[in-house]
Amino acid sequence: MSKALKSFRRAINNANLSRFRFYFQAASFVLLVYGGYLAINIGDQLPTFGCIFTEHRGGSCYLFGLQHQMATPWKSYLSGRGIGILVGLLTFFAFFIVFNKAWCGFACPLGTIQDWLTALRNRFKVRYGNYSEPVFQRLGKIKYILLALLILIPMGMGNSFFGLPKLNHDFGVPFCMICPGRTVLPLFSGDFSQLAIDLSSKTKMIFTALGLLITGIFLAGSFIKKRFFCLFCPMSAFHYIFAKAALLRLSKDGAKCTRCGNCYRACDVGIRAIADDLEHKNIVKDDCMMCFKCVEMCPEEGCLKVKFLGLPIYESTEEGFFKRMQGHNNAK
Amino acid sequence: MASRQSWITMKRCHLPCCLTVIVALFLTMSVGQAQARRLTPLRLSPAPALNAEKCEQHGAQPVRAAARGGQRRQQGQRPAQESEHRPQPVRTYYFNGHQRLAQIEAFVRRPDGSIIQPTLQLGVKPNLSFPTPFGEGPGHGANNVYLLEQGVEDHVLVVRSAQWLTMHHSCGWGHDHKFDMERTQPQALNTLPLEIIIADLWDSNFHAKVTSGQMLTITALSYGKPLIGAKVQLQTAEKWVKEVVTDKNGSASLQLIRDYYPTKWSDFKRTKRGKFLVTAFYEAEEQGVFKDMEYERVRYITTLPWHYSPARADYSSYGLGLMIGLLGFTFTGGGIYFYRERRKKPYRGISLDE
Repeated sequence: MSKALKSFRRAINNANLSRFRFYFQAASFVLLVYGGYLAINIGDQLPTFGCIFTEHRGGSCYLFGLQHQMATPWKSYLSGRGIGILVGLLTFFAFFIVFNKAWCGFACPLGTIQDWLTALRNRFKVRYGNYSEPVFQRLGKIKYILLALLILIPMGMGNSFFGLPKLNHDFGVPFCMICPGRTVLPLFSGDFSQLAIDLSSKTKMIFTALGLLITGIFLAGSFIKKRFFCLFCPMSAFHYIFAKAALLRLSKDGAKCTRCGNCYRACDVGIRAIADDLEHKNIVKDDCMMCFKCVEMCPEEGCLKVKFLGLPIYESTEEGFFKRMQGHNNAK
Repeated sequence: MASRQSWITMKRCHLPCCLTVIVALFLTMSVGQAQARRLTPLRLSPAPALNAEKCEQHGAQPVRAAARGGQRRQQGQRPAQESEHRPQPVRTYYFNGHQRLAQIEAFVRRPDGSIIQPTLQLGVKPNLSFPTPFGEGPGHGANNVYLLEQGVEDHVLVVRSAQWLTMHHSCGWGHDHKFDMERTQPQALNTLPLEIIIADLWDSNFHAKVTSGQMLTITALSYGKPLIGAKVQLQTAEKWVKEVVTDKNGSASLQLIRDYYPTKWSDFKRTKRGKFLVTAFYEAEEQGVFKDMEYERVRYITTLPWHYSPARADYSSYGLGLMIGLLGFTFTGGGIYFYRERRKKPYRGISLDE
C-alpha cells in the first residue's frame, strides 16, 4: 500500500464520523422535507421516512406505496398491477442495497428529529433512559407485528379472508395513520392539518386518534430514550429482510474484541449483541441503524469495520479512538 | 224564446273568454317555440345524456339508468364520475345535443401541449372518444377536452362549446411531474373563442382538491386572452346559482356553497362528490358570414363541469387532536418521571425487631 493511501486511510479512521453524520442528517432532512421547493423528487420507494404527507417533500417512504399496493385483489397480482408491485419492490431494493440500514442512521428525517431531541435533553442535562435486556428483546418484536399488520390489513381491503367481509377503504395505509412521521414531518413545512382528528368515520377517528396519541408518546419518549421509535419501526424490520444482501456492511472480528462494552454504551438503540457476539462477522442486527458510533468508540485495532463491497472504508483504531475522546473531552 | 236568449247571453259571455284562451294559447306556443329555439348549453359528461337532456335533433331513447333514478349504472357502463387514480385506455365523453346545421368539431389538449382530434360520433348518443395510453407519456397529466359547435340562428352566430378536464394518472407511473404545472393544471387553448380556466383544481399529487366553501378563481379567455365583462355562472347539482362578471384580468372569484348536510352523522361521506357546472356567456356585436349565412351578432357560451368534496374542517377537529396528543405526551412524561422518582428511594429491607 502506498504511503499516500496509508495516510489517507489513517485520516479517515481518525475522523469524527458523528460530526459528519450530523451534517449529513441535516442535509438529508432538508432534501427529504423541502426538496420539492428545488423541484427535487428522488422517488416514492425510499427505504426511509420521507413522508408522503409532506407537501414539498423530496422523496417519500416505500411503506405508503407498499400498503397502497397490498390492497390489490388476488387475481390482479398476476396482472399489470402485479408488475407494478414488483417494480416498486425492486426500486426499493435498488435504493436499499447500496446503503443498507445506514438509511436509518444517516438519512431518516424522523430519526434526525429523535437525535435533535436527544441533543436537547443533553442541553437540559437530563439523564437518558434505557431498557433492560429482556424488555428490549420483548419490545423489539413489536416492529415485526406492525410490519405484518401493515401488509395484512390492506390485503383485507382488496380480498376476503376466511369468508369475512372486506375491510372498508378507511383502513387504507394503516401504518401511516399511526406513524408519528405523518404528524410531525409536515409541521416543518408549515402544514398543521395532520394534527386534527378525522371524525368522518369510526375507523378514521380511531386511527387518527391513535396516531396523535403515539405522536405524544413519541415526543416524550424520544426526549428520554435515544432513538425511542426505531425499536418499533416496521421499516427497520423490512430492511432486515434484505440486509444480508446489502453492499454496505458492519463486520466484527471477534478475536480482537476484549468485551470492554464501549460499543454497547455508545449504541443509541441499545443493542447488546454488538458487544456480546464474538462469533458472527456480519454484526448488523435488526435494530441497528448503522450510525457507526460503535466503530468510533471501539479502541481495538480493526475489531469493527465498515465495509463496502467487502473493502474496509472505516475501521476502529486505537489512535482514532483516543483522538475522538480527546476532542470529546475538550468540547466538554 | 227563453232558450234563445240564454244562448245569446252565453254567446256574449263566452266569446271574449274563447278569444282570450286562443290568444293565450297562441302566445304560449310562440314563447314555447322561442324557448325551443334558445339553445341549451353544450355539456360533456362521462355517462350518456339522461332522458331530460335528449338530443334536440334525434331525441335520444330514455336511458335505463335514468329510469331507475339515474344513480346505478349498468354492467359494463362507465361510471358517471372519474377518478384521478383509475386510468382508462380510452376516454369517452357524451354530450347532450347538437344542431343539425351547425359545424361541430372537437379537440383534446394533452398535457405536453400537443393537440389531438378525438373520434366524434353523432347520433342517438353523441359522443367523442380518444386514446389515453397507459404509462408515462404525453398524455400523463391534465387533459383538456373541448367540443365546439358553431351555427347561425336568427341572424345570430351561436358559438357553443363544452369543456371537460380529465386527469390521466396512476401512482404507478410516478410523481415526477408533481411540480410541473403543465401537467397538474389545465392549460388554455389559444384557438378557442371562449374558454373557462379554474385555478387549483388538483394538488401536486394529482388529487382533486376543490372543497365546499372554497373561494374559486375562474378566468374567462378568448383566444388565450383575458375576456373582460363575460358573465360566469356557477350552478350546483342542488340548484344553487351564483353569477359574477369577469374583471379586467378576465377573472372572477366566487365562493362555493357548503350544501352537504346529512341528517345523521353516520350518513356523512368524506368522499362525497358534489357536482357543479360553470357556464360563461359573452355576446359581441360582430357582423359577418358563416357558411353562406349572414349574422349580426355573435353569442358565445361555454360550460365546464367540476366537482367538490366536503371541506376538511367539516369533519375534523384540531382541538380533540391536540388534546389526545397532549394526553399521550403528559402520561408518558409523567410515567417516566414517577418511575425515576420511585427508583431514587433507598431500598427498604425487612429488619427483625427483637
